[in-house]
Amino acid sequence: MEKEELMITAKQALLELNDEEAEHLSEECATMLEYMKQMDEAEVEELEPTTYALSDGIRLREDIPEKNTELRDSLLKRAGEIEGTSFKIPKVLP
Amino acid sequence: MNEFLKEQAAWKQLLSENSTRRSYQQALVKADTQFHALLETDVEKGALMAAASQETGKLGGIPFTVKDNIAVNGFQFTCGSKMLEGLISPFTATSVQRLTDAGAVPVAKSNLDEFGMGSSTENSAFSITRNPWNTDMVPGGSSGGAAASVASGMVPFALGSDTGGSVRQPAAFCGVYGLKPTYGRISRYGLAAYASSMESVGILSDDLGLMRSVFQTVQGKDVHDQSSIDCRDYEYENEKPLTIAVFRELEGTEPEIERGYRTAIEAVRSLGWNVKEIQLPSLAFSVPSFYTIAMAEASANLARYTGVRYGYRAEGASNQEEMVRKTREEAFGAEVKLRILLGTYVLRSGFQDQYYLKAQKIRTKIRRELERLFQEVQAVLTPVFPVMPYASGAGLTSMQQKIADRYTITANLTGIPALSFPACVENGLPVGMQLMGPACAEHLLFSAVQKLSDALPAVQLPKVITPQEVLNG
Amino acid sequence: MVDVHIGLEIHIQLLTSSKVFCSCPSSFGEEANAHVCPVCLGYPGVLPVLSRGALQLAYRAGLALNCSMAETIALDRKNYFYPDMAKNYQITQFARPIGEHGWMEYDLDDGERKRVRIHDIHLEEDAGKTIHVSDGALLDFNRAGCSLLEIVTEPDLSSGREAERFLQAFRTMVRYLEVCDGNMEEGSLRCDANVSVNHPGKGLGVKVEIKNLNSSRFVRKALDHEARRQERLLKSGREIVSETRLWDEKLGKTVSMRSKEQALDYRYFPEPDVPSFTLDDEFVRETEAAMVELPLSRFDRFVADYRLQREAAEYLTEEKERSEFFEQAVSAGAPAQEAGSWMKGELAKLLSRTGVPLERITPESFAALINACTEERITPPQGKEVLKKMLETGDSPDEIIEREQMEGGVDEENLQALISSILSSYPDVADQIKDGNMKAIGFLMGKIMKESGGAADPRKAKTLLLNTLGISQDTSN
Repeated sequence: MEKEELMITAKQALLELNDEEAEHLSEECATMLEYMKQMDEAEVEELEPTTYALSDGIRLREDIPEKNTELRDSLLKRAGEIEGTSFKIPKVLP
Repeated sequence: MNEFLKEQAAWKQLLSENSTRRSYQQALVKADTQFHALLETDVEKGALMAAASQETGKLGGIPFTVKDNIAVNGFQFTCGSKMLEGLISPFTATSVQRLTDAGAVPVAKSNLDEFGMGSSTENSAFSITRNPWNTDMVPGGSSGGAAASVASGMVPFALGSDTGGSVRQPAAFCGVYGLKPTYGRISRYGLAAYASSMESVGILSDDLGLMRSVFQTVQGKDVHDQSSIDCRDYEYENEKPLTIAVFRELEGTEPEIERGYRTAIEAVRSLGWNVKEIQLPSLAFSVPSFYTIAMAEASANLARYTGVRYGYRAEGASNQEEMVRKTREEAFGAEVKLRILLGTYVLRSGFQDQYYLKAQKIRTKIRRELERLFQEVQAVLTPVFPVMPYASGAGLTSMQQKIADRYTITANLTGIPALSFPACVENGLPVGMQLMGPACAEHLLFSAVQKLSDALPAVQLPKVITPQEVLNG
Repeated sequence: MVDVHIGLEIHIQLLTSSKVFCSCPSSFGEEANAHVCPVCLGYPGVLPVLSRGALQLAYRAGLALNCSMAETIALDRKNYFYPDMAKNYQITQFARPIGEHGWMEYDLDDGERKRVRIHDIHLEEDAGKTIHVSDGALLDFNRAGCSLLEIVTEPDLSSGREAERFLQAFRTMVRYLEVCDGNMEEGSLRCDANVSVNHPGKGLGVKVEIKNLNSSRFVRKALDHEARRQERLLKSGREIVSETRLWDEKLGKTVSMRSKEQALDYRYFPEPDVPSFTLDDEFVRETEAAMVELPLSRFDRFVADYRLQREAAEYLTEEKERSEFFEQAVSAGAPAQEAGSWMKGELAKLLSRTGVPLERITPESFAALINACTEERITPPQGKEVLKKMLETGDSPDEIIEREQMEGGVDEENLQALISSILSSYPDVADQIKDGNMKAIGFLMGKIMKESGGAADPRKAKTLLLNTLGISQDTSN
C-alpha cells in the first residue's frame, strides 16, 4: 500500500504511526493486499454476498427498562477519569 | 466418560474445601512457571461463582480455564492486550455463566494472542505461552493458554475462541480435542469481538465425554445474543457407515502432517467407513476471503478501544483526538494495528466492492460448495495446520501464518462445526486432524471422532498436574 | 427568480421505555450516566439486542408517512470516531431502510395543501452528549443507544415558510402517533436541512447542509436566509461551495463550519451481530391496528362535519388530546361552533395562564357550561368565571352556578339601581357622554359589569344606561 494511502487509512482508524512503523506496515499491507487481489480471479459476480452464515430468525427484546445502580457505579469506577458522574476527557477540538 | 468419571470425583473433592483449593491454587501457579499459560489464577474466586451448584450441578466441582477474551465478572479481561491491562470485567459471559450454574469452577484466565489475532500466542502483550510437550515450542494460538492448560493437566477442559482456527489449531499443537461449534450455537455474549460473523466460543478438553457434557451445558439460544441459534440436531443414519471426504493430495504440508493425515484416513477405513476423495476449488480463495472479512469486522470491533470509558489511556495529550491516537498507538500490538489498517482499507469507499463485497460473494460460493458436498458425505477430514509446532520466535511470518490457516477457516466462513483431535505423535509432538460436519452436526462429530480416537493410538498427554496428586500432597 | 430546493433530515427520539439495543431506561433528567450498562458503554464482549418496541414505533411512523415498508429488517454499521460514540460506530440502516418512497401532506397558513415526498425513514441509535468545559470535556452516555428514527425528505420544500409549516405538521403528527413527544427545545426532535438553488427548470443546485436549527422558527429564518445567500452567489456567477453551515441566531446568518474533512467515509457494512430477519404477519397486523386518525385527516373532517373555520379546526387538531376533548364535548351536546370558539378563546387563555392541564375538566362538564350560556341561564362573562372555577376546583358547572348563585342574572330593577349608583359616582363621565363622547360608555360599562360581578347581561345593561342618560341607541354607536 502506498504510504499516502496508508496515512489516510491510519487517519480513518485513529492510529498514529511513526515513520518507522509506517514504513514497516506499508510493506506488510502491500504484501497482504497483493495476496488478497487473488480474489479478482474468483467468478462470483452473480452471487449474493453472505453476511449471516446461519440464522433461524431473531428473538426481539421486549421494551422493558432495567436499572442496575450497582453495575453502573462499577462501570464509572473503571473509567480513566471521572468528574462527578461524567467521563472526563481532554479538550475536544471542532 | 468412564475414565473421566474417576477423575471427576477427584476434581470435585479438590475443589470442595478451602484447604484443598489452596493446594490446587499453589499447584497451578507452580506449574505455570513452566508454561505461562495463565494470566490470572484464582481458584477461590472461581469457587465462589460456582458455589451454589458445586455439589449437585451436572459439572459440579470441575475446574476450567477461560481465555482472557471471554468475560468473567471479577476476573481480569485483558484480551492479551496492553489496551485492557488491569481491566476487571463487570459482567460474565453467558457461556461461563451456564457453566458455573452447572457447578463448574472457573479457576484462571488463560493467555492468548492479542484480541485473538495470531496462531502461536506470541502476540500476547504479557507472556509467551509454552507448549507442554516441549517448552521450546509454541502451543499454537490464539487460544494457546487454554490448550496448554488442558494438555498440562491443570484443568480437564477450557473455554477458548475460534475465529479462524484459534481453538482447533492450539488443540492440535497440544494434543487435545478442540471444538469449534456451529456458528451461533454457543452464545458470543461476553466474547470480545474480533470477527463477529465468523467466530465462536470453543471448547478444549482431553476427554470427549466431558467435552460433550460441557457443550450441552453451554449451547442454545441466548437473549443477550441475537445471532445465537437453537439447533435441531442434524439428522443422519448413525447405523450406516459414514462417508468421509478427504483430499487426494496435500500441498505445502510438512511430512509429519502428511503421515498423520494418512494415519487418520486409515483409521477411517478400518472402521468400515467410506472415503471419498474430493477437491474444493473455491478453497483457493478462502484465505483472502476470510481475512478480508475478518479484518474488516475487526477494524470496526476494535474502534471502541480509545481509553475514553475504560482501559489504557495515554498521557500528555493536548486534545481528545490526540489522546485516542496515542492510546491506540501505545497500547495495540503490531499485528493488531496491521489488521485494523487492512480492515479499514478494504471497507473504504472505492475499495469496498473489490475487497469486502468480493470476499462475501466468495463466502457464498464456498458455502454452496460445501452444502453440495454434504449431500454426498457426512463429514470432511482435513489436517488442522500444515506445519508441526515450531520453536517460539523462529516460526512463520505474519503472512505465512495467515496462509497456514487454510484448513481451519472454511468452518468459520461457512459457520459449520469442526472438531480437531490428536491423530498420532511424531518426534515427541502431537499431530492433529479435524473433522468438519454440516451445521448442527456436533453429535455426529463427537461420535465419529470418538470412534476414530479408539481406532488410533492413544495419545499420552504431558500432564504435570492431576487432581489425585494434588490431593495426596 | 430562482428555484429553491429544500430537503429536511429529521431525527426523532422514539418514545420507547428502554434503549434500542439494551435495557437501560431511556428516560432523562437524571444525573449524567445514570442509565448506562456495558452494552451502551461499548465494553468488550457486549452485543446489541434489538427491541420490538423500537421497531414497532418506527413501523408505525412509516405507515403514517405512506412509506413502502420493508419486509426484512436489516441493520448496518456506520463507522466514525467521536467521543460520545461508545463503539465508534453507529448501528443504523443504510442499505435497507425500514420505510421508503413515502409522502406527507400539510397545509400552508393560507390553506394551500402541499405534499412532501419522503425519501426514506430508518432506525438507528443515538449518541451520548459532550459538554465542553474549560479544561476538557465531559461525556454523558445517558442518551447513547436511545432509539432514533431518521426521516429524510426529498428536496420538495421551496421556502422557509413551507419548511416551518411542514415541520409543525410533522411534529403534530408524531405526537398523535405517540412515537415521539416532538420537543425541539429538548432535542427529542432535531432537524437539519439541505438547501440548494438553481435557475428555474435547471434541476437541483449545489447542496449545502444547514445545522443547528433548534426550533421551527429558526428553520424558517435560517432557510430563507440561506436561500437568499445562495441566490446572490448564483446570480453573480460565484461558486456555491457544497459544505455544512450552522445557523447563528445571534448573527442572523449561516456560518461555514470549519471542519477538516467535509466528506467522511463511513465505510458502511452490514451489522453482523443482529442478523437480518423478516417481520412476521402478527407484527405488521398489530402495528397497522394501532394506527390512529392522522391530524390532517382529522382537520379535514372537522371542517367538513362540524363546519368549523380553518383557524379553529387547526387549533383544535393541533394536539390529539385537544381534538378528542372537542369531539367528546360535541357528543355530550355542545354546539360545535361554540365549543370550538370557547376552546380556542377563553379555555386556551385560562390553560395557558394557570398551567392547569386540560384533564382537569371533563368534556361533559365543558359541554354543560357551554349550554348554560347558550340557554342564557348565565351570561357569557359569568360563563368565563365558571370555567375558571371549574379549572381551579374540578367541580361541575352546575355545582358552581348554584354555589355562587349566578343564575338568573341581575333583574331589571336591581340593574337600574346599580346604574344609577354608578352614574352618581362618575358625574363627569356621564356629562362627557351627554356631550357626545361615546367612547366613555365603555368605561361606565366596565364599572357596571364589575359591580355586578359579571352577572349583568351586557346588552340589557347598555340599553338601560343609555336610556338613563337619555341617549337614543342609534347615536351610541
